[in-house]
Amino acid sequence: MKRREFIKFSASLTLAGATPWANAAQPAQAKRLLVIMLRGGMDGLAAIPPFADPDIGSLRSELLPSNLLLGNPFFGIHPALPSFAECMAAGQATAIHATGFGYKGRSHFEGQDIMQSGIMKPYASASGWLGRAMRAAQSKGGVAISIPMPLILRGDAASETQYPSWMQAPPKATYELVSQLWANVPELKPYASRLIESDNVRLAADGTPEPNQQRRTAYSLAKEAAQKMQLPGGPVVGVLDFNGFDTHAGQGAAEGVNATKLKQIDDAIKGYREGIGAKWAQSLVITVTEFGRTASVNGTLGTDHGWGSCVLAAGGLVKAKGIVSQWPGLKKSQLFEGRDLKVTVDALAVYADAIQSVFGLPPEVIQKEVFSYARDSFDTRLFV
Amino acid sequence: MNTLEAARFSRQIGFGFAPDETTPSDVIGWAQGQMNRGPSVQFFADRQGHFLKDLPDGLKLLQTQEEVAEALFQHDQARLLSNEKAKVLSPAEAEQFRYEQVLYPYWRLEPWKEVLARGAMAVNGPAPVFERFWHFWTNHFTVSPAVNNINTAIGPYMRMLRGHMSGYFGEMLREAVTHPAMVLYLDNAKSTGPNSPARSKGRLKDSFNENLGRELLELFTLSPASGYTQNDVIAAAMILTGWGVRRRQRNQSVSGPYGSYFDDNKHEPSSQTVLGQQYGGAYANRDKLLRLMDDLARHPATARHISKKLATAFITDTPSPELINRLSAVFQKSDGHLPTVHKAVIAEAASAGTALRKFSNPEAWLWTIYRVTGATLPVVLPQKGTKGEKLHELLAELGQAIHNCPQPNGWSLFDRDWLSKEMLDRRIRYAFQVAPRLVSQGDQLNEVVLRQHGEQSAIFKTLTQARRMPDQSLRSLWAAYLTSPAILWG
Repeated sequence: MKRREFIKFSASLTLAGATPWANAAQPAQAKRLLVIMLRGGMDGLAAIPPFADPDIGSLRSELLPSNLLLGNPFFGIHPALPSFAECMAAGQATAIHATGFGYKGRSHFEGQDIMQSGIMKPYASASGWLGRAMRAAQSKGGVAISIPMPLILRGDAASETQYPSWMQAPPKATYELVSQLWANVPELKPYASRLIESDNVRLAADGTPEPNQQRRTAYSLAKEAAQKMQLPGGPVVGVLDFNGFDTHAGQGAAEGVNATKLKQIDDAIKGYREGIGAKWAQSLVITVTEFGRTASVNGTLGTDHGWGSCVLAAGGLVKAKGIVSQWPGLKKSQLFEGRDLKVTVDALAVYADAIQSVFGLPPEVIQKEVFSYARDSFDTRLFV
Repeated sequence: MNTLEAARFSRQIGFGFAPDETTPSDVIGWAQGQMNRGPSVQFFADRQGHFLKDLPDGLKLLQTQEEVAEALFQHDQARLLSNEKAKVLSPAEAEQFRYEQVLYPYWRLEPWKEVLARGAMAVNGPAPVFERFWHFWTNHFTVSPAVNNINTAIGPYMRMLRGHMSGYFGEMLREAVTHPAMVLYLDNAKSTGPNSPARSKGRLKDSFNENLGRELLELFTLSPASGYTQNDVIAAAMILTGWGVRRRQRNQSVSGPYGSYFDDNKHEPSSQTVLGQQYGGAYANRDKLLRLMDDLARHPATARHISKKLATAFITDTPSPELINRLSAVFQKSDGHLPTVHKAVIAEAASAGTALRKFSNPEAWLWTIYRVTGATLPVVLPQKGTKGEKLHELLAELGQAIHNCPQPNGWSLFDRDWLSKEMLDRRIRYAFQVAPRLVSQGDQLNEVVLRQHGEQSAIFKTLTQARRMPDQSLRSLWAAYLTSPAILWG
């Protein structure tokens, strides 16, 4: 791989300090990390289209919005990402393009296992990279906005899941009895003492529990997570779990299926920023997806499973300005197996930088305790 | 097995014995005896053949291909009409129209009806162990309405799989892969070979799609562990080109034949090679897929993959290589005869002793608490503003929306994926919510607990103690029992 050929459009990447530990003086617990998982394979070429690439038009003109938001002279930002673009204009967001994992198998299930485990062998790990990073940093307590516990957060026993429920919580006495029954069962013991919480309950006016769909939008989920995370001693890490990025057919351009999905990311960034308050300055929001999609539109006006995608990051901890990329190009010879955007930046290197920023873990520790990654993926730190 | 061991075995492999059900003297034979042929799906209210009360008039499950085709057509028409209306009505009126014409009939009523029937079979049906194996197969060949608006086809598709549980895996594979629901779900309906006649006549843009080809190898048969390559995936997908769905078109009467069909025009004509085996040449284009699926169904990697999944679902998260080998041998020797394979799984589960310890997923847990307590399944139409439990929504709340599985690989078979604070808390909340119905039927808690676990059990002792505590209501005791390890682990 030819490194460093394309930083020219990623305006002013300021130099990282000499200390390997960024902000070692600041207590790591003060910082917050929100990871947004995008299941299905997010189309990086649609989110951050390289509109000035001479080959994009012939590959996917049907998928290109005409009203792109300004990224830089080479890349645009999809119009469904206005909050993200606003953050970028304020120097608080970056997109790292042509990112991906070493895994090239194009299977959702293997890919989603790998994007969460950080281990390049599918189904080989029972813990996730975020969980291991927290363990290594001795920084306990994450919250996944999800009904099940996602793999990415496993490894830190203090992490929890939450999602707005319409079911009423029973009285404390019931929870106490359940706790007693669970106390001697290894799998349940961790939960036995944490049961008595009713912050998920919200009753309708007449006292009947009703699902509150409003609380389940990307915006509200992110905002509620942020409101919890901004508390002193609140969860250090949040995970949002969105699916539906597998746009094989009728993907759309400025509007349509994919635009709706991208808007969820944008709403989540907006909701988080509003909910986290002053801690936005010490926050990082970052996306994870299993792979990108084919460079070319398919016959059903969608895209198939590919390789390279992009990572979106926002928050006060973002240091890289604009869009960072070593652009591999879109000519057939430049595409992976003649069809997919090639990966020039190891996505794990981006997440390693995020871990270093939020938890203060040095690269050596990340390599050893969290995952191994290509340390030469980019020249300078992306995050403060 | 003694009576208590039999009760536990039936909870692990089925949904437990109902209060009015006698414990069979040969519980293994009882379970295996259900494998030859499954009962047809009905809204059973009990094992005497009564049906659930309060079912809406005319509520029935779609049965024929024509009925499904008509429903798919009506759904599409309603959707198009609703989009048109959105241009002329106020947003509130448009939303109301969409709710009445599209959302309610196709996105709510359809899954509700099918889940109610599925629950009725598990809770009140005569063959609970068969039902549990059926749930395995609907999960193995997952189809969900995501993106493609195929809601009305999903229930009939799942019930089609049931019929093939009396036969061979290869037949089930063939029917599942070419079924309209699957062909639409995994985007094969329009997949066209790059060198097909349709393409070369310039009538169609290249619309080759490899989704179904990939899942055919990855999920349904070989699994990636077998080491196939991307070229194999593409070849399988090429073989699948032309397999589409004949749907009812506007201005046509509803006279079949509907369902899956093969369009030679869209098929990639040359021969393709999958795992070194060539398909084409002497075979008719249509037969290439059938030959490929026959070979895949008989491949040792498929036997292994299916055996491992069955062992994981029914016995343990970590099946030993020996266990997988034994089941694989049965699978291969019987040529994938499913009743034979299922009976072998039951025998293995019976001989596993205390190693048989699977944590119930939300669906299995829900049907278990209804079956062992004898509580009545709620029949509440999924209308806006209607109070009460709508079963498909309830399953979604518990973390397992059976008719809306997020991904083609289905629900996890691993216990660990069902253990999260939110999911556990939701079970407690639901148990507390369902408990008043049990209480109102009289104080049968002791009866149920003694029947299922015996008087020496920890759960019986704890509940007996808790009864004497002033802050514990009977409702609370029921909720604690239904979420106790004794029930969570069957």
